[in-house]
Amino acid sequence: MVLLTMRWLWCSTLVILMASLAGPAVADDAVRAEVVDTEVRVAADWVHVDIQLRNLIDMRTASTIDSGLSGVCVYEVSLFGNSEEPVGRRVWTLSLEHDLWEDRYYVRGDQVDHDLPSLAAMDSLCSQVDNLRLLPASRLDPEVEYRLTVSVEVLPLASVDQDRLSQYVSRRGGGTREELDLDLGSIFGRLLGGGRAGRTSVSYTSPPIRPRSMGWSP
Amino acid sequence: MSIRWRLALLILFVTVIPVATGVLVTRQLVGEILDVGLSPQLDSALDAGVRQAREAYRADRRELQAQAEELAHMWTMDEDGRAILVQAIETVLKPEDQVIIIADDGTREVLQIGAVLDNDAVRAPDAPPRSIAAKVDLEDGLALEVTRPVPDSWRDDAALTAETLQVVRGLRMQRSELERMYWLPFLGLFLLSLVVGLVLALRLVKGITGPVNRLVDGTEDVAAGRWNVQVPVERQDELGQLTVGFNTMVRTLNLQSRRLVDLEKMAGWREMARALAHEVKNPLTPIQLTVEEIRARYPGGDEKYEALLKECTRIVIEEVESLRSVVARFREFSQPVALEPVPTDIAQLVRDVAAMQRDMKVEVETADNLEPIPADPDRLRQILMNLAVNAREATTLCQESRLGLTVKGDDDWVVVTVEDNGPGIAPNERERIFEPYRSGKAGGLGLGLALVKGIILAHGGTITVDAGRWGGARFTIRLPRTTPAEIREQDHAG
Repeated sequence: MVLLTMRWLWCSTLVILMASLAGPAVADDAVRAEVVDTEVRVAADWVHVDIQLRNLIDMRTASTIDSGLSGVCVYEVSLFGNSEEPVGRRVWTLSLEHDLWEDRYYVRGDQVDHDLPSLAAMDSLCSQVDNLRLLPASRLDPEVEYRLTVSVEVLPLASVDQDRLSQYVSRRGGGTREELDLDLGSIFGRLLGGGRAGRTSVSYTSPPIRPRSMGWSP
Repeated sequence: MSIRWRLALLILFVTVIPVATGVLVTRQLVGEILDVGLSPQLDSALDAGVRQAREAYRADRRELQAQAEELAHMWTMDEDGRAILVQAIETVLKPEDQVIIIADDGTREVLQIGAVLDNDAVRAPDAPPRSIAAKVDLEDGLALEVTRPVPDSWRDDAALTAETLQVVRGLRMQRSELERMYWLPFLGLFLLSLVVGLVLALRLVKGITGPVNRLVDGTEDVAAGRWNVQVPVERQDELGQLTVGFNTMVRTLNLQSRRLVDLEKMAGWREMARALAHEVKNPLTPIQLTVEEIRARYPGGDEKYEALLKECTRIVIEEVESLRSVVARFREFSQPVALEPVPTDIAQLVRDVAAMQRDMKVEVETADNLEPIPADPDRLRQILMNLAVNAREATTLCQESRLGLTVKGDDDWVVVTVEDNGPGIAPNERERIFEPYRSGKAGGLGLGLALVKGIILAHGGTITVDAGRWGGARFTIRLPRTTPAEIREQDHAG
């Protein structure tokens, strides 16, 4: 009888703990971003890459950008040979912004500044990477097979807006009064969340590519 | 699982249930509050507000453009045209509108100053522009530019709506994290209370099970025959009382056990004394008669031989008498001690014995208000006198003979000590000194202390010896406050 009671106590405690620790279910978007097509070619002694993506800006990202919050699109394109180190690698970031009053969409980055009329145009622009100069063709080895890796991550909230929202969460009344000297919620939230909620990411690795198929021969 | 863990888990469980319930309810509340605060309806309403504000902003701009174009139609290069334009500005535009004619070379002619914009004012995030502008080309490379300030109150309202929409959308995006962020501190508190509760429960339970475990160990020691075990009393509560009771019980059992052993030994010694007395006594009379017959039948004639015969027979007869005396003492020792117990004031008895000592310095210390106990006062006086005599003999060589007598009592016992300042008794002799036929005195039979012990045992008590405060022997007599009848009967039977 005592053993039964103790077992019951243990089981109840475990159930309570598991129920307490179970996190809320996270909605999963039905439509996933994907790489539709890639092409690696050599032109003017450079290896160029064309990438076609789809569903890069999902509904949630579109909703935040539409409200005037800025999103971020991070691209990483690499070409690997036999080594674990890429022979060529390009990383760039695009800022996705919307002017609420002029109703214009802007895609900005290093040497990039596009003024677009709609979110669809923004999605189209971000989903299409054309003529990306990856590396000099002279660095290719004709006997080696290469693999192209593409990684794209869309963050619906740029760090600036993330900070703005954090202030709303950790302050009361729109940032006029401290809620708590020690904001435990913020600490725990940063520990677990990291402000990367709702991000969209896509990774792709191409089949082996011979330099010859890139249209290059030494 | 030990009682300690069972109790700790039980306490922990009772503690955890309300806290866990509180955490779960909090989580539910946080979720519901977020559902209300970040509802799609609110999002839609704010979105509609922003759209309307944007439409209003763009309508104003279209209106201004139309007004600027209307003014441009009135423009002519001559002075009349300029005057007509200035007049039209007053009717078509608002006084706060600024109207400027810009030439190709950048020359600016202000036709109406309008309101001065505070361009240094801090602009709220996502607020509409401070002004709207319309520009219309005139002839000869000139252009008409009209700038109309946007009312601050409208701008502030629009900015607030836009900002709120952004906050709602942003937080909706992070709803899961937000819920976790508000809920996790409670989970942290829950886990903290779990740990603290467990530690406190263990400490609390340890306070209970610790003494119980020590009592269990003590019981096992007693079961293994270690009768001198005593459990430390660390508490004043019921567990402390239990420990005190256990210690008293063990001490009593120890004394009774030793007493039973002593009784068995005493019975053996008495039986041996009885047999010895019987065996020695029987041949004494024939020996004496034979010796007397030898002496009577000597016809005489040899004076020397007759003198020798008389001397030898006298010695034999004297030794026979001496043996009769020994036999008598052996017989006395072999007899069970017959007590006549009456309520006896032990303290008074000790003071009486002390008063009878003449050749020693006597120190008496007796506790006040000691109740009389059932005892045979004659026997006890005999014991105390016997011990006093031993003390006097032991201190013969001392410069000053000292005798210490004390009487104290507790709930169960009256304790009498008798000590001297003699040489004392070696530790290895202390256990055996009460055995018969062990005498430290020349010519002694070694029955004195054995008789003393027999009388004490008959009272249901014990007697031990150790070193006293002056370095001599100290006898400690423990007499029960109530002498159980069965013990007396048992002693008598023994």
